[in-house]
Amino acid sequence: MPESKVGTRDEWLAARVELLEREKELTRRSDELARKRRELPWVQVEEEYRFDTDESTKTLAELFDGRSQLLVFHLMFGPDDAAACPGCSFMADHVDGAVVHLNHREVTFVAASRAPLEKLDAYKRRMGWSLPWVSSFGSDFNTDFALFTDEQRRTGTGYNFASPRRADLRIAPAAPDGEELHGLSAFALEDGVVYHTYSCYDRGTDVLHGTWQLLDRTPKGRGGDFEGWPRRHDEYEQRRA
Amino acid sequence: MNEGCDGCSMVVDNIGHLAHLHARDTSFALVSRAPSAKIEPFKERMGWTIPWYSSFASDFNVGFGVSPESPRPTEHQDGEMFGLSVFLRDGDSIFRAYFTNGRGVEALGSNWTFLDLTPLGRQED
Repeated sequence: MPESKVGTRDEWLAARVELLEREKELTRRSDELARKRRELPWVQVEEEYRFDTDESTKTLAELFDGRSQLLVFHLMFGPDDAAACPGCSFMADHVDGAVVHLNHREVTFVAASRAPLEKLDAYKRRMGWSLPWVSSFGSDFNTDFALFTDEQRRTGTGYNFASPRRADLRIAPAAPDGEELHGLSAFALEDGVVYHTYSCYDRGTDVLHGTWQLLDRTPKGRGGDFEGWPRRHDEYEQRRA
Repeated sequence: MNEGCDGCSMVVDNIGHLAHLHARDTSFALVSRAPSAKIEPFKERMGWTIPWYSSFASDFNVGFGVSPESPRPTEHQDGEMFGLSVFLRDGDSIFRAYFTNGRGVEALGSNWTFLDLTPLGRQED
C-alpha cells in the first residue's frame, strides 16, 4: 500500500466529512431523478403476451399477482443456452431477500427469460434462488421492451436506447442469430389496463444491487480485471487461505 | 431487546451472495452488541447465512460511534445505531478506510433503489 495514503484519524475525519457533502449531494440528486422517473408518461401495453409460470400460463396483467406495480428483470437465458448469463446471475443473487419487502409496497418482482420453463426451474434450483421466474418463450416480450422503433425492430439493434457503445449488439430474437439482453422494466396496472412506465439497461442496473455498491465503498473499489468476475456464484475458484 | 432492528433487518435481507465480494478479496460481516445467545436465534429466524459476530465484550461499536456507552432501555433498540465500516488489512496492520450511516446505506443496492424505479416510488408520504 502506498505510504502516502496512510493518515491520522483526524486527517481521515476531515477528508471523510468533506466527502460526505458530495455523497449528500448525490442522495438529493438521486431523489430528484426518482421524482422525474415517476413523471414519465405511461404507455398502454396492447400486445397479449403469454408467460409460462410455475402455476399456469399467465398474461402480463396476471403477472402483477394482485398488486398495482410490476418490475420485470429481463434475465439473459436463451432457448438454446445451457445456463443463464453470469452477470444476470450475479444480479439475481441479490434479489430473493428484497422480494417480500417490495411485495408490501405494491410491487411484484419477477424475472423473465426466453428459455423454456423447465430450464429456468433447473437453473433456479442450482443457484438456490426463490424469486418468481417466468418464461417468455415464443413471444417478443424481451425485444419489445428493449427496441422501441420500427427500424430497431427490423435490424435487432438499438440496445440501451441506441447507445453508440452498444451499436454492434444484435438482439435475439429480432436478430435471429443475435444475443440475449438484460434490463429491468416497470409496469403499472390500473382499471385492468397494463402500462409500461420505465426501462433501464446495461449500467443502468448497476445501482440496483449491493455488491457493486459495497465494492465502491472499499479502498480498492471494483477492481480492473473483469475477465473472471463476476462468475456464477458456484463457479469461483476456492478462495485462497 | 430480543430482535434486531426492523430497518437493519431489511438492509441485511438485501445483501447478495457473498461469493462475489470474496472473489474480490473482500469479507463481509455483521457486528452487534447483543450477545451471541441472542444473535443466533434471530439469525435462524431470518434465514440469514452471513457471518454475524457479537461485540458484547468489547467497546467496538461504542468506539466506532454507533452504540451509547451503556444501553438505553427507554430508546428504540436500546439506543443502538447502524452504520457500515470498511477496513483494509495490510499484513498485520488494519486501517479504517470508510464509514457511512443514515441515508448513506440507501445507495447500497436495495429495496429503495428498486422502488425508485417504480411509478409510485417509495410511497413514504
